Amino acid sequence: MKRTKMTFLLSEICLFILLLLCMHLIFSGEKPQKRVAVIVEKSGDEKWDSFINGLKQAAGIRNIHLIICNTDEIEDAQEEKSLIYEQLDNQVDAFIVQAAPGEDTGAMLREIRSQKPVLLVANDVPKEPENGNRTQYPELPAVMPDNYGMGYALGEDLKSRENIRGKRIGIVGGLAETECSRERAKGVLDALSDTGCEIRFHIHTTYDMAITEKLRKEKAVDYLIVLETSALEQIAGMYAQENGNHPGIYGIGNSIKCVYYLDEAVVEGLVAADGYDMGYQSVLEISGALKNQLYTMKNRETDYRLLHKEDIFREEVQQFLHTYD
Amino acid sequence: MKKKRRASDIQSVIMTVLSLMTVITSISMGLLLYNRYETAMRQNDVRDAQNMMETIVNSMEQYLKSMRQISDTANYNIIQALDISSPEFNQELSLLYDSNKDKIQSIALYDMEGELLVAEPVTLQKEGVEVSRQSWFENAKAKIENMHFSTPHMQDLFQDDAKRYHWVISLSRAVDVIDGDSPENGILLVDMKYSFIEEMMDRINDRTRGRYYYLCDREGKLIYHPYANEISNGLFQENSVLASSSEDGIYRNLRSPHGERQTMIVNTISYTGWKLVGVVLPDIRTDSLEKFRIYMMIIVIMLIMMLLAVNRIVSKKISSPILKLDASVTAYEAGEKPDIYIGGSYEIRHLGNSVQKSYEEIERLMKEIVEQQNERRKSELAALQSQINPHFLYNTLESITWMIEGNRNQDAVFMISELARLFRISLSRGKTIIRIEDELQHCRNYMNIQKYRYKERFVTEYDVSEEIYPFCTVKLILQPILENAIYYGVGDMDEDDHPRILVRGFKKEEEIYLVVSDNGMGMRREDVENILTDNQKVPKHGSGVGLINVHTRIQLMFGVRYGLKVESEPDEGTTVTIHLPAIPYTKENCEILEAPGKPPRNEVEP
Repeated sequence: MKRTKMTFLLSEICLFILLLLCMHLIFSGEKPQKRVAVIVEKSGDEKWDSFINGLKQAAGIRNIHLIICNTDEIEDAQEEKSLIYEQLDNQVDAFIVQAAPGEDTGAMLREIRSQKPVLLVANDVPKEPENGNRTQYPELPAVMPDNYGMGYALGEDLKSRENIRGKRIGIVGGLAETECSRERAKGVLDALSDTGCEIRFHIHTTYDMAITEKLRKEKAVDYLIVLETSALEQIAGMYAQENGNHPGIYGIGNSIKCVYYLDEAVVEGLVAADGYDMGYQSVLEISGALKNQLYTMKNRETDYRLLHKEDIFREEVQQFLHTYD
Repeated sequence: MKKKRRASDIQSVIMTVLSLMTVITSISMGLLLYNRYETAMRQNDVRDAQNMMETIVNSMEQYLKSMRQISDTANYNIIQALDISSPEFNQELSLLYDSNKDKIQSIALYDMEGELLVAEPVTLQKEGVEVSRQSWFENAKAKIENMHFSTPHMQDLFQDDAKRYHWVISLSRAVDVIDGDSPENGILLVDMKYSFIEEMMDRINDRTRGRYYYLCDREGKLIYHPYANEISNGLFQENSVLASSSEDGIYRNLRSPHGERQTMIVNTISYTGWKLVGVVLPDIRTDSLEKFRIYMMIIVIMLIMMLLAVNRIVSKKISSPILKLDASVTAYEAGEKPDIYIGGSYEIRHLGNSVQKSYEEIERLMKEIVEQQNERRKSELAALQSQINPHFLYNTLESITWMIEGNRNQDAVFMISELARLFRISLSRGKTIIRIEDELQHCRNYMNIQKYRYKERFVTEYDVSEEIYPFCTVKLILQPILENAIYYGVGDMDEDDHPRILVRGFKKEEEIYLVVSDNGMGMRREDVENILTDNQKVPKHGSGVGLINVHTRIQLMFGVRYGLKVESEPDEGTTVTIHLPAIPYTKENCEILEAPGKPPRNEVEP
């Protein structure tokens, strides 16, 4: 008798709790969209177009509110930190960040990650030493192309199209203190090792001086390898205007402008990262972390394509380039 | 080992059954309603999509029609009307372009070798472009009577100072060009801005509504798809070939490349043969459906809660009288004397009454048994008391005294021994049931003493079959009969009349008979009739009390079938027959017979 009463009361209590839960669901209304801030340097640049297209597409599917921060150069960790804190005040739930140049960026971002999910794109931070002073913060997941692979593919392309034995080669990298620049340069150098070519210079872009000016100060070369989109746009633009003889340019570039220079035969070989995929995958990862706190964001490697003039109007390349619009 | 299931009480059983029925019914009802609503929503969704598509098809057709009109205007009003070298030609073409530049990227006229004749806006053609190998040119050249719409592509014709590519859909046709006096053939190209179609399609593609629309040509090549980039990256698949080969209509329950069931709506766009395809996904997650799902859950939960409460009241109402009845019966079993609960419905009332009556009957029977036991004890006590009748004892002891005074010591010893045996059997260690052999021995002892007292004035004869010795009898049943036979029969007779007492014993079928006959004075008929009645007012022959006692004790022990039968004729003598069941004298039978509340008849093993 007592058991029946207890069962009855327990059932009624459970049902009542369930009822309250349903009522809460009805009256709580729509859940606010999760807000994700995207912090990449010079966010208005054409090189981010495909990335932003990917971000927007995935954000639409995953119901994420994207805040693409309007930025100029992000010179160091401190500047990036102030941008992040600005967004933290803006009730942002997660960050998709391109790591700023500098050795202390990693530590700063790891600290932020202890508060909010942080995902790196395009540029990684230096890995923490295996043995040594590890910080208490977790590692940072990154969604980006294989920068080393891109550099290596570009070097291989140059090797395969030209006889570079004894030829002079100049390398123009991105910002010196970024991990992606280091990786790309390493890839190129590895590909060109034992080819008999001469690396006459290896310069990097800087915030204080245009790369074209820097380049003019360097010795003449037969081939120029440009490892950064803006630098490639500027250098190709410069040679396109000069209409004279110019070194063969091979580069890494993620903009339609770079493709256009390839079409105009100013650039001879182009490695273009799949920015759309990078944006798409990064939103998928971050939304996973926002939905489920136990979800561990994973490193994802996105694709890239090696393009030549004759490839541009092939149907699949057109599809690929459509994401750059 | 199988665990013994605990029996549930009636309220639990009723409550469980009703609750299960309630839950199953409520959930089924909720699911049915939800399913009905979802189906209606789905149908509504398909209808919405269909309406939307009709609107888009109309807009698209309007757009394409306007493109055709531009092409027609360029052809009939400019190319075929004006000399290509005339300034009006360029002026008119420029005007046409300016008035439609929101929709078109460029208008260009080529000769049949692919050389550019004129273009609007005026711009440089890219170096090294092989126009004649581009598909739009080839198509127009191959079928000069038709207009040809291409699929979207990057325009590969003109230089762009902004270093950008334009996505266009090319509308090409063969035209007749007037160049001075000689008419020539040429290809007119109107490049439509793809962004116009893209924006139109983007507007109707709301990703949160569980449906999308795409555009493909008659070969299934995608013109627009909201997931075009995902498709090119392998993240999404679309069966556009199926859509392109389908007639206009609604196709339900199609298996998508992802394995889901979906509804496909196909509409053909005039002029081009393009297909506008709407896909309604099965997992519609519209807000209203989500809300309705929660509303249904609330209704079902409230219904279950309410019905559970009602079930409890009903089950309590049904089970309460039964439980009360059970409680009163349990209390009765525990030794209390509660009133049996009588209440509730007719059936339970009837049950209560029956139980009450049963208990009353049991109590009455118990009382009867107790009374019978008391009666038996009283009878036995009376029988015992009769054994130590002071008069009998005094006379016997007096006789012994005389014997001793008369130096008849041997006779005195015999008398004392007989007296001792008589009492030993009388007591029988407190038992009521003894062997018939012992009862006969007791009878002999008694008669031996009485023979001394009556100076052997009568003769006692025994004719007892030994067959009956090992059977049971109630003790001390012969002695009172013999005593009566002596006192009221042969005791006062002259020796010349040959007074005689005959004791017979035999077994007939499964019954035993002990018969004591004397040839004494006998009794009158009315005395015989009343001798075994327990009525104090009826005068009895001599001490009828002894016979009644024997008769009662036999009937209490063995049942009313058994007892005494008295036959007598005045001056002829009296015969008293003891009728007993033939029950072998065994320990078990003795225990059964002597147990209080034993069966009154011989229900023991014969």
